[in-house]
Amino acid sequence: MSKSKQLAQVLDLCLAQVLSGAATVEDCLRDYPELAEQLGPLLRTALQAGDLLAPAAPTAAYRAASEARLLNRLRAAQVVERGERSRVIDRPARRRPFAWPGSPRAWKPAYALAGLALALALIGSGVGVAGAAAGSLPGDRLYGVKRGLEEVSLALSPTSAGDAGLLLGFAERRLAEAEALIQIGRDDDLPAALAGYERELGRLLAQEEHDQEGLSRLEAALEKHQQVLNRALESAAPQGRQAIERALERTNRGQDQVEEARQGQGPDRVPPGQLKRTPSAEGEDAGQPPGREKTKTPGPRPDATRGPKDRDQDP
Amino acid sequence: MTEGQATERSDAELIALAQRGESEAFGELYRRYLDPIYRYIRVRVGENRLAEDLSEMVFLRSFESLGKYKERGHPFSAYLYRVARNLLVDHYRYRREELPLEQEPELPDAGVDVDGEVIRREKLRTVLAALQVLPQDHQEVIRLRVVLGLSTAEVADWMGRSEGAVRVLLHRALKSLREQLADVEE
Repeated sequence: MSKSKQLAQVLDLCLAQVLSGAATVEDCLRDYPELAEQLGPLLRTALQAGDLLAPAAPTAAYRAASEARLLNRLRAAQVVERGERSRVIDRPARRRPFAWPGSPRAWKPAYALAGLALALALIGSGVGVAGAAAGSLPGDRLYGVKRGLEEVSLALSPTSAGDAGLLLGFAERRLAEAEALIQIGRDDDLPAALAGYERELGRLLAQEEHDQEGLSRLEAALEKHQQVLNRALESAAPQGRQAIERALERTNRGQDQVEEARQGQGPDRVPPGQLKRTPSAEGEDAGQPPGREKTKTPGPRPDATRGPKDRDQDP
Repeated sequence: MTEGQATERSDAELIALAQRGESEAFGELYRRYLDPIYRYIRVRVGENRLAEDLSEMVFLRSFESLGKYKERGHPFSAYLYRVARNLLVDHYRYRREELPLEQEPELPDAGVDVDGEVIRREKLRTVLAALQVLPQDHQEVIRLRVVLGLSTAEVADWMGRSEGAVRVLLHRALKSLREQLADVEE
């Protein structure tokens, strides 16, 4: 064996011992005095690099949330591929151990799959429902299908950036629906459309709150939303104005949140265990903006999702 | 399938089940290999959130292509590693950036030792700068063997080389790194 190969072998052996804590560099150098001069610097270099560059393991919160997300997406993808309508319907109950009922995202596959099941059933009957549903408005029979299909696309989105793009699109779709309702004189249905807007905005803010690039996009989008809502306020009938004002207020609060986040709330400020990509199930159920947004509502706030600095800044 | 039963299954058994559409079996593989895959990506991207997103994508892509997967004597982790590498290349190609070397990792709060943290960060920059100029395979063997602490056999599987070749490569890589560090320090 050449000296170079021998050195490589001993280096590897010593490295294994040193990395596992079974020996120190000095122990190795004593064991191989004839190679000590070359071994020493290489082992110390390795230890230095290993110590400085070693990444942290994924957090327990991320593991749990990520696994639930992954399995939900795998199931949703399987359903789409196979078009197994019967499995779509019974899967959430059958897969209960992996449904993470207590998790904030647990509602998502059930909602998405139910929408998909309905869409598949209707499409299968030759009605061409998906296309028809796309143009539906709150109060229309097919509006639930439209929302269900949106949730399917969200469930299938593989990244949080993709989720954010979809959620922004949904929020803007709700605004477009509100404008359309005003145009055709269905102001009674405005609250439903705008509650949907508020909900999507809440989910979007929970998604984007720690992403600077996303915050910039959101800032620009919110400004546009304000313009749309102000325009709607001018043309809406009295019964629809309250909902528009509430949506405007929500948009303004969103802008505050974005501004606050841009001024020094980086990703590292996420408290351990917070599911920053998922909205609060409680908020969802209550029809309130989820996650961080919940903490912005007036009155006493159980502000578990925000850091001490955030609380200090509260009025 | 309960979790207890799943943990007793071999990778090959879990893969076979996952190939038949058992997403829970793939979930077990995910639990087994999330840690090394996440840590590898985290070293490459230097940002927690991006590493989290990319790690999830690795497993999604792996599941999508699982139908074509054949063991061929390499462990499943090597397959995941290849997916992760390709994903990183795609990610940076999409962003029209050069595939960067490790970004500066987010260091833990130093707490009381601010001076120590400053010194540590300076050393980190030096090591990153030195590593950056090494050939790709030198960088990779240092990441896998030294930074992630994988065994020589695992590194050989992941990199598709013999164990002997990995030892020789590691020796050369550490020698080059040492020389680069010496240059920087001078």
